[in-house]
Amino acid sequence: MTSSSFLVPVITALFAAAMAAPDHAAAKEIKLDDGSTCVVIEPEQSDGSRVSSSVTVGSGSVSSSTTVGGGTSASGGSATSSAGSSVTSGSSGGESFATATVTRPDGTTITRRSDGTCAIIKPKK
Amino acid sequence: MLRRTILAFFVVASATAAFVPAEAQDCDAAGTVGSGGSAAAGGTSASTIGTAGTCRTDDGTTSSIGVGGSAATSEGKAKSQTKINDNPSQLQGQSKAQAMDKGTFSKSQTKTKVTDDGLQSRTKTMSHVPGEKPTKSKTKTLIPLPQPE
Repeated sequence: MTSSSFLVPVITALFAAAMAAPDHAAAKEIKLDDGSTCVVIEPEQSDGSRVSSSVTVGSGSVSSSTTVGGGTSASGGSATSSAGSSVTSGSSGGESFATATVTRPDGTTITRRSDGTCAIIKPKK
Repeated sequence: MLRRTILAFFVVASATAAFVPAEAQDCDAAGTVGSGGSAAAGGTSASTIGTAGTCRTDDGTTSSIGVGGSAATSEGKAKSQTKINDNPSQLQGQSKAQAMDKGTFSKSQTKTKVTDDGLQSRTKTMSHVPGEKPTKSKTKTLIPLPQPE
């Protein structure tokens, strides 16, 4: 908030396609738009919901959304949806920093830092 | 003997200094804020929450914000969204959650922000069942921060 520009340029990582697909591998590297990679430690279980997450660090935004149910015949039962985001930003000693995190409905957190690194942490089953 | 005593003192002093953690810097101005709400009607429910905190020191300001929401329905559609914008003038987060089942719906929205002037969080909720009067609620929390001299 307090700094107008971060050392690292705006990095946008769109995980929707990569994260929505069921993954049965023990570990998988996801390539981000800026060429960097994140390693998914745990396989993800597909719950059938449409989930999109985007994380931007550096004068940007963090967003997540989930929509469950709807449609013409698919909404035959109950539906639950959840989404969460957090950002910490500031400056100290003349250096700016930012950390942005999106929490997905399955508990997975995707964190981007302004130094370009990222982390995807999946909850224990 | 004196030399050995001085050496022992130096070793102890060095070891003590090595294990003393760096002293945290006090905030010149600090505050936290938060609000949340939920709505329910028929078989639908929705809730949102937002919190934020800031600490201003001589070296700079650190702020954090978190928003979340969830919605559920026994039949129909549930949707939740969060978004945080980080720009030089403010850190602002928004959370929306909505559950719908035909004409029955519940929705909740929380907006939380941190600016140089202070922190603010407000939540609006609404639920409605066809043929009944809608239920609405609003909460707002405002925490002003002292301005630097």
